[in-house]
Amino acid sequence: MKNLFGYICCALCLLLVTGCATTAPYDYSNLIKSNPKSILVIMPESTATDVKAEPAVLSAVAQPLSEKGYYVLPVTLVNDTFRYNGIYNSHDIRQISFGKLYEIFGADALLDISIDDYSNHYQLIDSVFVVKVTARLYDLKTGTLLWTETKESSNESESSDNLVGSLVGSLFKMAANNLLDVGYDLAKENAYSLYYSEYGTSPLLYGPYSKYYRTDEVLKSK
Amino acid sequence: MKKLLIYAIGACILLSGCATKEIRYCHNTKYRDAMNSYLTDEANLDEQRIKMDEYFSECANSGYEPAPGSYAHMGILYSKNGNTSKAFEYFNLEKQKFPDAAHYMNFLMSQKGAKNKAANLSTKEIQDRLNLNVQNKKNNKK
Repeated sequence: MKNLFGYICCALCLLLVTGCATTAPYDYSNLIKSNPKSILVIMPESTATDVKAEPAVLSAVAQPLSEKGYYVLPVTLVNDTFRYNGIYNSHDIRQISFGKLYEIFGADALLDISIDDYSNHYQLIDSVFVVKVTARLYDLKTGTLLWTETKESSNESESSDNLVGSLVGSLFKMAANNLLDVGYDLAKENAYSLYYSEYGTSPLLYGPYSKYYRTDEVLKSK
Repeated sequence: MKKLLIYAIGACILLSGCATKEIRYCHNTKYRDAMNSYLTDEANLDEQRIKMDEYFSECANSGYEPAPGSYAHMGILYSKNGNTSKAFEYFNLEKQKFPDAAHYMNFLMSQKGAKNKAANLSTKEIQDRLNLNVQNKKNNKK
């Protein structure tokens, strides 16, 4: 009887382990086929009310993407080009056709960023700032979706047994989150986790300028 | 010594999970801060230019190339003050360092109506004019 129980436990464990391995891997075939070298990044579209969200997220993109092996068109110039032509917000930018964008900017791919959250969350004994971003990379010539990923970053405090300490701490943190531009730093951390990270469900592949081009871990597993 | 270094790097790359990231560009946060300032109209243009000057000189000392877009960004700071020729020098530098920028840089320079006098200058000539004196110690080996 005891042995049977042991065997069932083992079988269940095996199932759990193999269950992890059978999650469908991300299909990179479009990204590999398109093989973009340069990326046009347009002003992110935010659902959050904080006006600092869009510039903070846009300015954070260049470094991790270029480190990953892509050329990123200068984001401030790109945004100015839209403004000079009477297009002032992120929603209106998205009404421009891919053909027109390619004609002006000549980039291989377009990065469409949407900011799903950029706000302070007031919890019971913690105050947490959350930055949640979804990135979509499109081939600028064909409009094909090449890659997408969502990443959430926060400055969640470590759990503590000291309730009074936690309550006091959370009040300070709530004030701090509002006064110091916590979102700005989190946006950079978030950008790194989105574009530069080698791990996660569907990391962006290394670009043609990186020495790790096509040596990605995700391409090796079969 | 060099061979040893190559073997070490090679071994590191072969070892799975050895995520020694390749650093390609100058990681100074000033460039991001400068971009954010510009996008939010925070600091005035002179202050923004000073920040970018600091970025470039710190990069020169670090031995790493300024990040893609940083030359072009400096260019628009000059362009906004009416200094088109200096702006074009930066746009040309961006083009030369990053050929993927060529199409867009050409588009910008054709829009301004001014002549692209810096078109025939070499990278070194432009860098000397702009006092950039970039020391590419680490990025020469490729």
